[in-house]
Amino acid sequence: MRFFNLKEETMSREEIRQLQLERLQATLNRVMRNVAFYQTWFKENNVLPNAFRTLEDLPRLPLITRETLARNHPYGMFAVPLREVVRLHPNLPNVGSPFVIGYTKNDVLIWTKLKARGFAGADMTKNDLVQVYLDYSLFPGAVVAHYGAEELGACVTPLYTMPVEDQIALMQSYRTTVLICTPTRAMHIVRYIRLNQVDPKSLFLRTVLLVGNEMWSSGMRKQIEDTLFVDVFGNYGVPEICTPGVAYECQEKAGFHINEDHFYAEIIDPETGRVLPHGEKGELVITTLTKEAFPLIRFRTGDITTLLPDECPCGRTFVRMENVASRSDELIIVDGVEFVPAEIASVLSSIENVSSHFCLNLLREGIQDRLEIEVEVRPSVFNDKLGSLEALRERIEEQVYRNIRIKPLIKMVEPKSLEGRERVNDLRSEG
Amino acid sequence: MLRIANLYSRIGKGEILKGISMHVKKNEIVTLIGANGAGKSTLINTIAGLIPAWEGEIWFGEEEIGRLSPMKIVRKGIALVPEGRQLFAPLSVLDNLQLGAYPWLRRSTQGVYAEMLEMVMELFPILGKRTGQLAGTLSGGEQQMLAIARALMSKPKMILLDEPSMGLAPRVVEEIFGVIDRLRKKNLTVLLVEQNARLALELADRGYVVETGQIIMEGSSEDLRQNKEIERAYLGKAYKEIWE
Repeated sequence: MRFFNLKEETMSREEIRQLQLERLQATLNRVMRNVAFYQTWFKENNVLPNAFRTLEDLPRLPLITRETLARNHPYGMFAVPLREVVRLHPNLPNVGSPFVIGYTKNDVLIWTKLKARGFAGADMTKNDLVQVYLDYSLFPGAVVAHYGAEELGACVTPLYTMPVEDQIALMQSYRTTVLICTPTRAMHIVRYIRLNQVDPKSLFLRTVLLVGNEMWSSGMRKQIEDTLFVDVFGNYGVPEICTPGVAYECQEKAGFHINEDHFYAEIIDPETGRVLPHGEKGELVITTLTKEAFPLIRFRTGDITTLLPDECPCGRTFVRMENVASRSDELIIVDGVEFVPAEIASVLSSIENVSSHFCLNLLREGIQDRLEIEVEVRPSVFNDKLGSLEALRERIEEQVYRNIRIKPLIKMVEPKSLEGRERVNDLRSEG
Repeated sequence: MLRIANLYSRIGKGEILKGISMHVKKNEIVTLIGANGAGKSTLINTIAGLIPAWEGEIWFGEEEIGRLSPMKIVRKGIALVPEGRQLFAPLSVLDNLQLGAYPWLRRSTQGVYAEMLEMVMELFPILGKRTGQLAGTLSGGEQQMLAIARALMSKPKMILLDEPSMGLAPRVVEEIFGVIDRLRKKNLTVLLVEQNARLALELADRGYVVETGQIIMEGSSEDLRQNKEIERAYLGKAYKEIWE
C-alpha cells in the first residue's frame, strides 16, 4: 500500500481533530480580520470566531451557497490582496452562477501535494507514464492533475486536444501506464475499443484515474476495468474549492478518503440544513482549513453522499465518503460541461417565437454524449416557409452554444405537446 | 507531546490569550511568531504555570497540567528560559547551574545532576571555562547560553524559549540558534518564541502566527515562509499598500 506521506495520512483520530480545530480557529480568525464579507457574516449571526471551541460548534454558522459566491463575485470573498494570488480559476462566462477562485503560491503547492497524495493512493509511482486526457482550458483540475503526477516523479504527456482514436494510438506507441480523464472520456475509449475491436492487450495501461465532477457508478468502473484490463480509481473535488483534491480513492476501492488535514467535512439534511451523524446520507458541506486566498466556511457542495465511520483496511485514518450518487441541485453534466436547466430557460426566453416550455434529453450517440432540447414554438412558425423554421433552429442552437458551450440537437414541437413530460430525461445508458 | 485547546489567560483586567489551540509533537521545534504584545510570551508563561490559565486545557503527554504550580510543571519535564535571561547575576556560573538542577540535588539523585552537568558542558564548552565567573559579568551571548544551560539542568523533555535572540549581535544569535538546533539531536522538544521570524522559521519545523491573543495562521515553516502576509508583516519583504 503506497503513501505519499505516511505520517500525515495515518495520524491518530485525536491528532486529526486537534489539527482541524487549530486550523479551523486560525481560518476563522483570519477571515474575520481580512474579509469584509465574513466580518458582516459573523456580525449578522451574532457570533465571534472565538466562540468556536470545538469542531461541533461549526453549525452555529449558516451555510454558504453558490449564490453567496455569485453575490460577492469577483473578489468579495478573497482573503488576500490580488497581487498575492498566483492563479485564478473562473468558471466559464455566462455558464452557471459566476465565481472565480484564487490561489496563492502556497495554495497551489498544497493542492499539488494533495493530488500527489491521491495518485500515490492509487499506486502511481515515478515509473509511470501518465497520459492526461483532459481539456486544460475547460477543466482547472487538469493542470493540478498534471503537476500532482509530476510531483510523484511520473512522466506526464498532456495530450488533451486529440480525438479518442489518436489518444489510443499514442497510448500504444508510448506505452502509457496511467490515464487521467473524466468518466465520460474513459467511456469514450471503452466504446471506441469495443466498436473498432482494438486489442486492449496492445495497450500498456494499468490504471485509469477518474477526475472531474461527473457522476459515475460501480457499473461504469467495472466496464472500464474489464475492457481495458486496468484498475480504476476515483478522485473527488469541488470546483469552488479545488477539483480534484478534496478526496481520493485508495487501492481498497471502498470510498474516498477526505483530506481531513485540509478540509472539514459535514453531512447535512439538504432540506433542513441539520447536521447528520456519520453513516447517514445527505449533502456534503466542506470547510477549508488551509486555503489562503479563498477560504470557504461551510460550503454546500450539492453532492449527496455518506461519510463512512469505520476504519479503512489501507491504514489511512482520514474519514471516507461514498462515491457521489446524486446532487441536491439540478446540475447537469454533459461531456464535462456543467449547467442547470434554468440557464437553458434563460437562453430560450431571449429568442422570439419560442415558448418557455422545454424538455432536456441527455442522449448517447455512439461514443458521444448529446444534449437534445425539445422546445415548444409558436404555431405560426410551422406555417412559415421551411427556411424560417430552419433559421430558428439554427438560432436556438447558436444561442445555446454561445451560453452553455454545448452544441445541442434541437427539436421544435407544437404548443402543449410537452405537457406532463419530465423537464430532464437522462437517457444515457451505461452500455 | 504538548496539546493546548481554547486557552484563555489574563494579566490584570486585560484578556491576553483569547482561545489559543496548538500542539507540539515530540522532538519538534515549533515557533510562535507575532508582533510585540501579541501574547506569545504570555502563552509560554501560561504553559510554564507562571500565569494562570483562566479557561482551556493544557495537556503534556497524558496529563492535564493547566492548573499545576510552576514547580510541579518543571518536575513533569517542562523548563522555561525566560525573556531577558533572568540569571542570578551575583552568583557564579556553577551556582546558577546548580539552581537549575534543584529537583536533582538530593543525595539520591546526584547521579542525574552529574549527568546533566556533563551534557551541558559538552553543549556549551565556553561555560566549562567560566564555571567560577559571576553570571553578571558574562557577555550577552554567554548569559543566554547559561540561561539555556540552567533550564537543561532540570532534565526537561521540553524547553520553552522566550526571545533567545533579544539584544544579541547577529553572530551571537546564529551561535545560539545553532545550540537550539543541537537540542533537537538530544531528543528535546522546543517551543520557541521569537521576534526574528526569519531565523525562527529557518530553524523550526512548524510555526504559529499569533495576533492579539489569537492564532491567525499555522503551518510548516516552509509554508509560512512562502506566505506573503507573513513576509509583509514579519519578514520585512514588502510594504502593505494603502488600498489593501
